[in-house]
Amino acid sequence: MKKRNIYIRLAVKGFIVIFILSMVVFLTLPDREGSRNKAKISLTSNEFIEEMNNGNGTGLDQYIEQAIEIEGIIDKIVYRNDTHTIILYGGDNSKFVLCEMHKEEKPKIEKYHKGEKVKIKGIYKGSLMDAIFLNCVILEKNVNK
Amino acid sequence: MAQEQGEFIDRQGSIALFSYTSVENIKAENNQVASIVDLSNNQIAVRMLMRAFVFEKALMEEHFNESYIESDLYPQAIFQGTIIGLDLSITEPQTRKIQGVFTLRGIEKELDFKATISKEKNRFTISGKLELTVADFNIKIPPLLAPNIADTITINFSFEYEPYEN
Repeated sequence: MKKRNIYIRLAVKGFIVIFILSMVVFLTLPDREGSRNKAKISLTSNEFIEEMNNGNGTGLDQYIEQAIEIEGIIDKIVYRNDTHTIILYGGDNSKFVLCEMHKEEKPKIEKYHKGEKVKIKGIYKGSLMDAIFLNCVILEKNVNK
Repeated sequence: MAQEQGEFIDRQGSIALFSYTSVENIKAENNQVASIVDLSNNQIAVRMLMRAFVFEKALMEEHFNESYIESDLYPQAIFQGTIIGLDLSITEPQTRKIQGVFTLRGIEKELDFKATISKEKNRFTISGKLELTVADFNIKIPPLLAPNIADTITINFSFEYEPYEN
């Protein structure tokens, strides 16, 4: 009986340790879901591209892997490889903001069209020709329309 | 093709990594890869953000960026090469060799692989598969995790090019 109680105590302690470790890992991982964290900064897509063009965009490096809110006009919505991407105008036709959308955003995305204004929150990954955001979620429809 | 000598672009090319071992299979996808093909000299350039690879598990993604690739130090991988014998007057899909230099973690490696090129109206696609050896890029994998990661990583790529109006 005594031995059995020891085993039960050990099992409970083991469970608690695993639970705490899991929570620590979960809470310290980068925010892969754009919706989980508060946005560090809120900009229009034009402002973002303008910032990217200034000093090769190094000022934006501090926001890599951070949640950012971006508001802009939709250039197009692309569906490729089972993934939706909302492309926002960046002020001219050479640079854009690419927002790869979270899978669960599909029903919201279908309500949007080219030329509409949209506010999106996503995780900034850096820039190539364009600014790239992943795990994006739509915040509200037709902002300031 | 109306603009056969111009530049063509894909801002959202796709690259998938696969590591197969008896312990586990690991897959990651990057659907925001930029590429330009210049048809005047058949040059191809590809750039990708390493942080834009998405893994099934967040912990794998963290190991990939923080420990193996060191994405803070080496945020991009770049390929620059030439498509040998590309002829877009051919309407059927054509298999062509691509030769060039791939730069990852600041290390350059010459690559030579085949790709399938298909033309549709004023667009074309390039897709294919190649293999990269992890050791070529000085990627340090802890002994404990070594059985989980293949020595050779399979890369699948797919691009859809349209005329580049810059």
